[in-house]
Amino acid sequence: MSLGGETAPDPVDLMVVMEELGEALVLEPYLETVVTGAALLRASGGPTADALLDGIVAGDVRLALGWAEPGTRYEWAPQETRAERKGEEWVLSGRKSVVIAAPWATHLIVSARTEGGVSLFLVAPDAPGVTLFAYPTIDGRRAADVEFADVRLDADALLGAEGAALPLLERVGDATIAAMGAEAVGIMRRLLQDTIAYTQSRQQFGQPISNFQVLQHRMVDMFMQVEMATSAVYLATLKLDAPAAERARAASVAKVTVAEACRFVGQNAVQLHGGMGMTDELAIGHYFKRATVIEGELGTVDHHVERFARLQPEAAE
Amino acid sequence: MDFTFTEEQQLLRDSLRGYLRSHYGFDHRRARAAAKAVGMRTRGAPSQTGSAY
Amino acid sequence: MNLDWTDEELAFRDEVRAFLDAHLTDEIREAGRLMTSVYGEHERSLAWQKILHAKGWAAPAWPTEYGGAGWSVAQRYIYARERVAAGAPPVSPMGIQMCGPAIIGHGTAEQKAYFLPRMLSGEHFWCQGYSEPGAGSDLAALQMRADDDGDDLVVSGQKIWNTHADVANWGFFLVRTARLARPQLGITFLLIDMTSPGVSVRPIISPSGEHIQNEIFLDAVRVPQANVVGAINDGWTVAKYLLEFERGGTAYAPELQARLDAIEAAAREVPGDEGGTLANDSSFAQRLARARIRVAAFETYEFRAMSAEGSPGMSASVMKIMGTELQQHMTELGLIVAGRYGIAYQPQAACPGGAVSFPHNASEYAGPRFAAIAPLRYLNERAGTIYAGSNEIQRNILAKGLGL
Repeated sequence: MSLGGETAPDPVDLMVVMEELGEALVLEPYLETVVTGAALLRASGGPTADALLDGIVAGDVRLALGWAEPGTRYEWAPQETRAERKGEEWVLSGRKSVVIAAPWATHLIVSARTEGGVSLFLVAPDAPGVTLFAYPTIDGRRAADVEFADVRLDADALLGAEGAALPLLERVGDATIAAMGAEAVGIMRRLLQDTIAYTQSRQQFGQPISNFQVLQHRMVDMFMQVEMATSAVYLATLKLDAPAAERARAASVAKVTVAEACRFVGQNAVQLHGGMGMTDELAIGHYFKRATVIEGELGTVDHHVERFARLQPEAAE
Repeated sequence: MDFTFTEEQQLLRDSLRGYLRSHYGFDHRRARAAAKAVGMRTRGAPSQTGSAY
Repeated sequence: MNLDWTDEELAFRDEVRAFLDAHLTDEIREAGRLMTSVYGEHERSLAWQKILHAKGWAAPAWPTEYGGAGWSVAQRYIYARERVAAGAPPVSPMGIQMCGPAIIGHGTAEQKAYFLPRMLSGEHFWCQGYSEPGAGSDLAALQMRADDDGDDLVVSGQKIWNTHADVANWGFFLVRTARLARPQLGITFLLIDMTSPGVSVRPIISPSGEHIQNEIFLDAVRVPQANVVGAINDGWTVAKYLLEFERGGTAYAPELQARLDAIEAAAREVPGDEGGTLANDSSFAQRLARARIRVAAFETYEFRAMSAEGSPGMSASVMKIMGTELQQHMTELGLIVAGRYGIAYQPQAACPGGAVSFPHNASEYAGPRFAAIAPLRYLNERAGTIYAGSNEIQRNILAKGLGL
């Protein structure tokens, strides 16, 4: 899979990959690097971006996107992070919160307010003035809060045109929602499979507990939620090239459907595993934790219901 | 309207699944999640905790 | 992988749109727009069937050799979408959607030649005789008996939940012709002339006051052996085929999308709690957005099921469960929009699927028209999760499919 220009991966290819990574519960920052980061680089263009795209394919480059801030919630627009032009250089200051994969990243992509609007900058995590406060996340991955204290950046650190990043972030955000949804589908399929297998092996009252109708119907409801989530992910993935409002509505459909399925399937997988669902030893608990993280990432259910309601559909065909 | 995967996509899925099954088992994943050296570059706590959280 | 209609499908959509535009009268449109349940008003929906029949479109799923439209699943979906958008009523499913496929799949050449053309034209109007007082979800427990008597079978017993049996002149029945080791064996699929001596029909009035359902009593009714579809004692095979068709035959999303649009339009006409219309209230807007999101995901599921090759399998049950649960949800939203007028009983403002017996005014009504229909829909739609294999039975079927 090449990541540059015309040979950029098809969204359906990425969907296939993400579903498999989800099913194997892979920790590595593929989503952050190959989906989100690479899409931002591709849209920005230029020699720096091209070199980094090659670096991703070679396995040398890992990316993390700093977008949210302590004072913002799920909107893409940064508040306190700013960059000012000083002669040939940019000076970046501000803070980013819960930058997923930042401790693993070789390069940070950071959104900042500039004179012309919102712009993206490429920042080395070890540049003078950059401070990472790193921590693990509940799903075993890594994140960091990042501070920028008058960080001096070269002119070519600006990715794409100055002030043009907001619609790009929204578009790449929707692509990320679709790919993350595919990961969730892989995770939920595994949660369901494991739950079916466990209830068939667990004996109580002299029989496998999978014989009980109340448990059967619960697993059927889990199955139907997985099917709705799968469908919504297809919808979002296949609408990524549609006009902005249609694309965003489809992404919100996916985010809401996937989040609700993650909660229902995750919680019930733990419930039906009984005590075994509450140990760190079985895989089930780890899948549940990743599902829980995905549920809230890039906007809660309420956030996306509100966004969906706000975006009017384009006039009917 | 078409919901089928191309042969290439099917191949991609199969080979990735095969690779992950043989190289990315649960114990491997657990070890990586627990690794202390995760490339953290930490210089103390952030100057101020965020108000939004 | 893509979500686009082909050029041929788009051309087909335009053809359907033009046909509906040219042939739907205001009176027939009313029967579609003002429905109170899944059943159209008998006379007008039959009138619409005749218009469709003249065009060769009365039976979308039948092969052309039997007078069907021979449409692909995608074409049927497009047709359903255009139909509900234009406000046309559905054609009664009992004949064309249910009995027809059984005759096509398992009937004799004579049965096909006699029944299929009359089914299409509406000369024969069909009802279904499956459920009995003691055989609902456990259909195989049915007791209606048919005894061999030379060229005839002699049939006695009771059926229940027979939609439009009061206006039907033919019925397809499951009857017991033998008591064998398993209850599924010894059942026969039988076509019965409802005008035969010994047939009586008693109305069942629904909670909405409508007479759509009936009980059928058969008292030593003589039915020619030639009216058996499939083999004697092998009716379960025919019934299973038909049940699958009943479940998988209908896409729900077209109707759901039309309901959402009607609900939103009505919400723009009534006052809300926040100073504007109900549509502008934030809590209602969120409810509506959530409903649209659920329907969008479900519609894509139906597209996937439609595109999949082979028998509908598990997707038929998923569609039945999710489709009917969403339809019920639509009626809940309808009650919210209706507000206080939702308690007024005004079927005269609607176009119910059968005669109304409860006391009500003859023509004028109070409040918005939408509000008059909303409570009737709410009441009638409770049946959605009960009929055609209750949703609990569907979940049992899915559990089996999951290997449980």
